[in-house]
Amino acid sequence: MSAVISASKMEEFISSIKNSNSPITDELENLRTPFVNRLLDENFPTTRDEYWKYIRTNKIAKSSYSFLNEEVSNTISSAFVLDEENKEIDAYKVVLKNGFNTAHDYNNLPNQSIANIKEITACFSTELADYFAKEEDNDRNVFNTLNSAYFNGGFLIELNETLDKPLHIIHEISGGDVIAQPRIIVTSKKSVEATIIHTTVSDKANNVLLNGTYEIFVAENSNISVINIQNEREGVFQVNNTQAHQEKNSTVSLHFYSLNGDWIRNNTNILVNGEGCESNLYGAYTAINKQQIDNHTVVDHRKANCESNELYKGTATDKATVTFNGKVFVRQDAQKINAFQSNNNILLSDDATINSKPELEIYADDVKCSHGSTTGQLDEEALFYLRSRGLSPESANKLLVGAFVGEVIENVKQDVVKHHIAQLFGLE
Amino acid sequence: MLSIKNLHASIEDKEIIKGLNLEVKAGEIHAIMGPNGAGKSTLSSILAGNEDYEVTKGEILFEGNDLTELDTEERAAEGLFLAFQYPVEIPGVSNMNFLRTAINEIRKYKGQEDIKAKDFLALVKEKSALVELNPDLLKRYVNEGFSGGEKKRNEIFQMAMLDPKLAILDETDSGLDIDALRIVSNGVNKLRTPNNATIVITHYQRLLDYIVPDFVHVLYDGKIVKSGPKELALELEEKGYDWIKEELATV
Repeated sequence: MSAVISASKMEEFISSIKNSNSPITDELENLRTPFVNRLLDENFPTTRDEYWKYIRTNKIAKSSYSFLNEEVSNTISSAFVLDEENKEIDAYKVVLKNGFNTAHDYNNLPNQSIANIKEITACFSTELADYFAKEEDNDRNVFNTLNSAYFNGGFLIELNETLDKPLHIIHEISGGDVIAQPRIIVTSKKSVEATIIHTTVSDKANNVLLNGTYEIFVAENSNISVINIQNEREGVFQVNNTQAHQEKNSTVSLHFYSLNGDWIRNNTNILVNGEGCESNLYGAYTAINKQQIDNHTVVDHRKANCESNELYKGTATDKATVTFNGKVFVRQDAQKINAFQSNNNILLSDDATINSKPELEIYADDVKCSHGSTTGQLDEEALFYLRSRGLSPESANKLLVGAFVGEVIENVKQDVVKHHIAQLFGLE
Repeated sequence: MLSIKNLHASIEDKEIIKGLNLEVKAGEIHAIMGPNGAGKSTLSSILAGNEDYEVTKGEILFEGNDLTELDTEERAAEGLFLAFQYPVEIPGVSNMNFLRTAINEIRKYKGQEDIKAKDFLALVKEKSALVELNPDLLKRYVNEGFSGGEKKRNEIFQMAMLDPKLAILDETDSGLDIDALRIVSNGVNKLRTPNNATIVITHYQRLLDYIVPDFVHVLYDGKIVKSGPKELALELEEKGYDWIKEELATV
């Protein structure tokens, strides 16, 4: 009798992904092989895993996803960041459709280098291998490994000089049982400033997993902001793995504005590997229906004289679940660190759930760190005051919720983008 | 305009208002005075529709309608205004946005179109001058970081913007210096017309030098126990409340 070896759950999961995968260069194949192998040993986390306790992955694990490279209907306009006259803002624009690159004018970036990650050639000065999955171990999770093993599109962007307007990356999502795995690596030269906006939009999506990994290497004196606007419709599971790596005297600001979509998990990591850095993390969310929004952040201070600020605020209503799990490490050599972490929530219904876990792990002795978390309800006195002036409970609620998350949105530097986000949250 | 008959009201089963009667007609100013704990602020909270209080008996008619049937915002839309003793600070909500929303909601209730931006700004300019309120304050968040006097002026400014039929000023004089008191009082007096009415709730006679009442009522232990002309306020100032308590005891 011969033994029957059944395929592991993960092998089963990736079988249709593998089959729909398009061929890539040998160089890339070499890069991702270790992750293909590693993936086979991994499983999807369950609620027994500490960092995945409040968000369910079983629907994803049971799905049979494949890549889909086809036209998405052109009705998707909500992706665009609009100004007050509802005109698209002036930005360099690239479009990924279900994770695949499109011909959308991405070679128009002046004096910058941008290439389809699957078509990197030897003449491109950055060695992909120097950056690809470099910080993988900082937050090892199966979604990140899945992306490293089977990314299906994306870019390698070298910022040679300051970007005069934002780079807007639009993720268009559609189809049924589709997986989209964009991979974007951004590196910068010294003293470069840039803003990158990610917007996610979906059309006729039914069980789509958008699992993006975005690696950002911020060189000395550079200042890079990344603004994620997560406004997809129902039927989309989104995992955003963002890993920033900072060199000395650099600033990085990562924003996450989560509005729609059934399920959003943001794995956000900042590794501060130089002195004199500033790291900012901002998040605002309004969870409705049965939505699950989970922000998981790590700021790892490895060098002295740095500051990090973290501000996450939002609301949960209906049967929604919101989770914040933020961790700040201050390593032994990282003296004189100021680290602030704050998560504030408002619970708007009896059936909604909010989980908040700020964590500090400090090994240095001369640091100033604080963390705080609040979960409450809308201020009854303020509600009464507004209503006594004629505001309906709905309008009064809206004003107060807007004021609450508005504190986060204030941190967006570009006015047009700020107004756009405020509008999405119904503040203006 | 306002007719309160045999009103009883309680909070958490504790009766605070115990058979209160009050008639206010258009064009009148009524002052309600009384010692601490008499139920003055409770009365204003009940009139504004604070749901912490339960009306257990009696009736409140406002322009002939049962006020207790209306929600707080409906009372505002019907023309009732409460100037708070302690105006609430609301960080993140700008004064202008708040007021524009309030005016538009009231207009919607009345079946009117939204106010035009230009008309709104003109109204703000006119009414803020009335209470000498720095227009820059209006760009700031509601009452946040305002001084005591600025908060009270902002209350009267809101009153001017909303143009109520009946305004209740709950201890508007508390925390005001003499200049602010004069400014606030001037504002209230300028807003007076034969068609509206004001109830002034206060501890002290001082405010009534500026806002001269047609009637003065003494509220004590949940009831109005004495009413009289404006001179009653002077008598109270001079003699305190003990003589009224004694009068009641002998009865």
